[in-house]
Amino acid sequence: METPIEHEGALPMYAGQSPATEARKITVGIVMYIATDVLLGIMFFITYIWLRQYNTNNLWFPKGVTAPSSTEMLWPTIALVVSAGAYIVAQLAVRYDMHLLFRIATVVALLIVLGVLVWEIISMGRLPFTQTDGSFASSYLLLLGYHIVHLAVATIVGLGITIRAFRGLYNARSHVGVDVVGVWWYWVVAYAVLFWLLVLMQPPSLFYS
Amino acid sequence: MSTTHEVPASHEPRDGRVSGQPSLWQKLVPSHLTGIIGAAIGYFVFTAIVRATTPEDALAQPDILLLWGFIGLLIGWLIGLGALNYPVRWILGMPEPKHEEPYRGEGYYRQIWRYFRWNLDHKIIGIQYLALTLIMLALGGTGAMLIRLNLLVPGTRFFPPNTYETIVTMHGMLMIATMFSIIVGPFGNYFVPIMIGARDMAFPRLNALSWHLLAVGVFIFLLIPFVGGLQTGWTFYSPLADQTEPGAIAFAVGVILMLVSSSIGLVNMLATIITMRAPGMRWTRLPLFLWGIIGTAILTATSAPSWFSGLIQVLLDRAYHTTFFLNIVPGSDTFVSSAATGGGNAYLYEVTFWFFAHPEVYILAIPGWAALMEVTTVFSRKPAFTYKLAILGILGVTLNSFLVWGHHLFVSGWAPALRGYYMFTTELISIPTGFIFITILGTLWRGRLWMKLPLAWVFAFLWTFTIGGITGIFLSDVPLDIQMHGTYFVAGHFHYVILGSMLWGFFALCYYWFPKITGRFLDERLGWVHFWGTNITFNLVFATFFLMGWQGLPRRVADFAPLFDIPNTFASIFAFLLGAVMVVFFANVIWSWRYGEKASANPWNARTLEWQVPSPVPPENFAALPTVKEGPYEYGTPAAPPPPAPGAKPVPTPGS
Amino acid sequence: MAQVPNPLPPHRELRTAIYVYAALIVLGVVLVIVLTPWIATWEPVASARASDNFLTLIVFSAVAVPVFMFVMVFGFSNLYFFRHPRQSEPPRDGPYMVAGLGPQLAWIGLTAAHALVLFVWGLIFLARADAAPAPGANQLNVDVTGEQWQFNFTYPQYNNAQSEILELPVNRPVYFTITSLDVVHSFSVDALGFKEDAVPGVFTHIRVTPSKIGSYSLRCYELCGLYHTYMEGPVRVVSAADFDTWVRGLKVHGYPWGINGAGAPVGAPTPPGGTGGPSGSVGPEGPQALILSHSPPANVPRSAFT
Repeated sequence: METPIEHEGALPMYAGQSPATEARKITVGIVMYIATDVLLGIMFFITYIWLRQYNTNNLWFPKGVTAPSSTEMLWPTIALVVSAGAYIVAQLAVRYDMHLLFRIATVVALLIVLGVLVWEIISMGRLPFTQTDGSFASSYLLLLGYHIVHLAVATIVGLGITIRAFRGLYNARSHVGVDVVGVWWYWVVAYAVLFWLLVLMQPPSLFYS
Repeated sequence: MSTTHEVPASHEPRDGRVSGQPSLWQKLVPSHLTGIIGAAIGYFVFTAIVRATTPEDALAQPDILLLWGFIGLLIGWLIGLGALNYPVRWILGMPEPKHEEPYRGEGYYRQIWRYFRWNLDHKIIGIQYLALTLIMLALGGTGAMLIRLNLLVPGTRFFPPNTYETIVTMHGMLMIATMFSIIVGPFGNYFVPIMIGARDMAFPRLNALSWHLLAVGVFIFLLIPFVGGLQTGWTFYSPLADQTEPGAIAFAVGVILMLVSSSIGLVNMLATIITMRAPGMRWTRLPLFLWGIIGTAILTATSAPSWFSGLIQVLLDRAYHTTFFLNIVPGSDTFVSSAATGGGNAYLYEVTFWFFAHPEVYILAIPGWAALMEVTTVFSRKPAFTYKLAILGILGVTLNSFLVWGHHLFVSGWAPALRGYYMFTTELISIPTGFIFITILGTLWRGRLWMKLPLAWVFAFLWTFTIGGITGIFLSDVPLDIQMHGTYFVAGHFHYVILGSMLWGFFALCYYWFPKITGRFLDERLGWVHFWGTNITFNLVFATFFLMGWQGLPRRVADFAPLFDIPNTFASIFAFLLGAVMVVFFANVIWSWRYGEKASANPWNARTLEWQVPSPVPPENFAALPTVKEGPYEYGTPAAPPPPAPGAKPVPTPGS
Repeated sequence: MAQVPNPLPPHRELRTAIYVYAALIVLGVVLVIVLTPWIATWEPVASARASDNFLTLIVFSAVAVPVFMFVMVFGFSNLYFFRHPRQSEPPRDGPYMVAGLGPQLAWIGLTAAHALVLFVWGLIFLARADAAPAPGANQLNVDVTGEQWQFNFTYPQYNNAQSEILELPVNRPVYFTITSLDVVHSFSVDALGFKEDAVPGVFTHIRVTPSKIGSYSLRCYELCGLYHTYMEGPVRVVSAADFDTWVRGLKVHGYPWGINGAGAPVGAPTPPGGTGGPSGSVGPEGPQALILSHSPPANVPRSAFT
């Protein structure tokens, strides 16, 4: 029963657990934590829909406010989808011990996310409205800010995965860290797609003007 | 011991241990001391940065400064504790930090300073939680005493309305936060791994993070009076929270930290129960207490994000003048002078709040029920009467509580067409709650009741929670709720429900598990004084609330009409007595921890796993992982001592 | 836990408990019917809504008696029947007794039926309370505007006459349209048995028909800041003729909202304070039981602890 675990931050405390149990434990736990965060993101989308639906005092989207450009945010969204693809490649590569491909894929995924993070921060500063211009502006900035925070976290953990990949800490037998960071990665990308579809694809004044 | 579990007896430390005595430097760096220093530095660094980078007119209100100051305080606290060492070293691919290691060594284990640092052991975190929640209970209780002091005689003799409403707000939220964690914090952390036969939680670092976030959250929350007070009540309804004093920032940041703390802690327990059960611990062999933890964890993780989002929006409204709830002209800072002309929506806050705060009521109730069912089986020496129905009850309440939150908005004017639906789901909740009652009543019936203090609190629950539940039926009825909403009737109802389930469950568990945690019993004579004193005074105070509520006395008012002079004085006097009885309980805990009567490993003759290890529980709980052979409550089976003759024929159990 | 429990032999404790249970149900229902009206004598009941609520209180209390007594009898009688005589030593185990399917289904059925009865009762009375008046009824519209810390009333059918005091004619259906200028308030007249939030930016509605001439109290039931305690006022229910005299004596302000709040302009200024006070005849002075006897303390700073 007492099979020691090889590495990946395994504590001596868990010496009684097999590597399979260890991986299952981390996967189940982290997926539940991310699910909680997904619910927070959903609450923010509900905020958007709610305020839009109520349009209190016709101030959802006051006259004189310009909508953000949807094409400007389309390219970063596509780039993020590409980054998710790169991450899938990384996850497959480490399963088959293809270490060079694994390292290249993590670097590609990380660089794209970093680029999108910088892009979104810049675009936040160039928006045609400020947070006091009605509730569309408020909820748009809330949704964008939430995504920026998530991209920042993805950058940090992605950096960790990349460094650890180059240090050779992952292999076909031990890669649960890559997998759970992957769950976060796909959530960040899915959020960006959802954000573009729900908020940017249709003008905010579709029903009210 | 009459158990068929295989629990290896020896507890020799495994290899790789650090032994010997730590130096003073090792004790202090890092510890809570460096955490506090870090918090102070963080606060001043962040406020200095905000001062330097924010235009002068935005600093006219201290909100933005306080918000970033508290964020700095949090970051400084975590850095000072050494909590961020591991993540940084993980990113760099380095082994785990040294300061987290020695605490698994035998030589380091038995010293008092292990409680005052970033410690990964679930039992130490459990005791940290016990201390913190008892302090919170004492502070919240002090708030209750101050409230009753002001209501002792009419005319706001003691506090002006601003101070009074601040005390009401802090009493409410502190008590809610206490009840949130008073069972799952101490006893959940301490006993979940032991009861499933594991050595620790799934994520010990997140477990430690959970306690340290709660501690800093409570600290920030307690700053409310020093940054101007807050007159919203714990519901924090939002155009008012946007408009009131900067205490709202301390409230929102503190409560966000409490929410994050409980989500982290409970999801951790859920992951532990799902993945780390000992061999043979099937789902149908889990003690009911763990089913309570499962229900609570699902509820917390699913509902907490809702209020989290509402509180973040309040913070943004206050610090950055967004319009989520504000109803002011965009760009203007005036509030009252302009007619309702903003894009914000007050219902948004009410819905995000109640979507959390109704399940929250069951987050408070479910661990209490589970604890009391656990205690009932042990002290009536019978298996749980309807084990599967009890699980179904817990999970049914968990599911149902997401469907009923609209009943808090019957008078708000939001979605009037849905009121019938919410009335229906609210009344449905009496069905899964009934499962809990049938389990307890059926287990008691024909048992051999060992009237120790834990069982006494089960009877207190039967009285108190039944009254609380029945008064809930009045409030679920829409027309009657329209009459009673916001009155003392509601205050009486939820005090009966929350104290009746959660606090009584906590007391039962205290008397039940104290010998396991400390190796000593709580003093029994003081315990019976506490029991009778609490129950008599509690009922006198809160039954008066029902009477006053039906007459229309509103909640949270600093003064009252002459009609209520006598009942209020009556309630205040008995509330003071209730406070005095609570002092007895605190004294009992402190005294018995040191001088109580010594307990054996299994003084209650219980059959769950935690009683099969020595008291207090040794490091790592089990030398080798145990194997579970039967359900938790197989009393009266052939494996147990033979039952006495009259009337009852034992039923043989098929071997497992 | 999987085994099917053998039924234990019947025993006399169960029979005794059932007799006691039946007796206590009868006693409890009688007590509820005798005692509950005493509670209602403190504050008057002055509308069909309030008297319906009072009826619901009695009926629900009576329906709750069997539930309450079940827990009391089958919980606390254990202390008499099955208590282990000595505290100092643990008892031996009790019988292995777990429930079969039948009792569980019976319990589920009983609690579900109980919940259903309450639900149907609630639906009927909700429909009664919210029912629109008959087409011929001369409905009175009142617009209520909450602000910190008072309510203002506008009578749109009477040239938007405005008042800080609520006066209503007896036996005439009233339709309140409620909003707030700043934060959430809750507009309530306890004697008339209703309560409805005043929410900024939103109009909410409630109906009531006062049925008894008298002087009652209204107040805010949602914590709305510093002087929430003192956000209260009198309500007069008077005869139709008295009301007519009173309302025509009010100053007319041309309040910005029209009937039922339609067309409230964005950013409209609030009318200046100092509205028309009561004039003409008023109703008889009643108990106004919920009105405070102390005036609010002067010069309270907004910030606590300073």
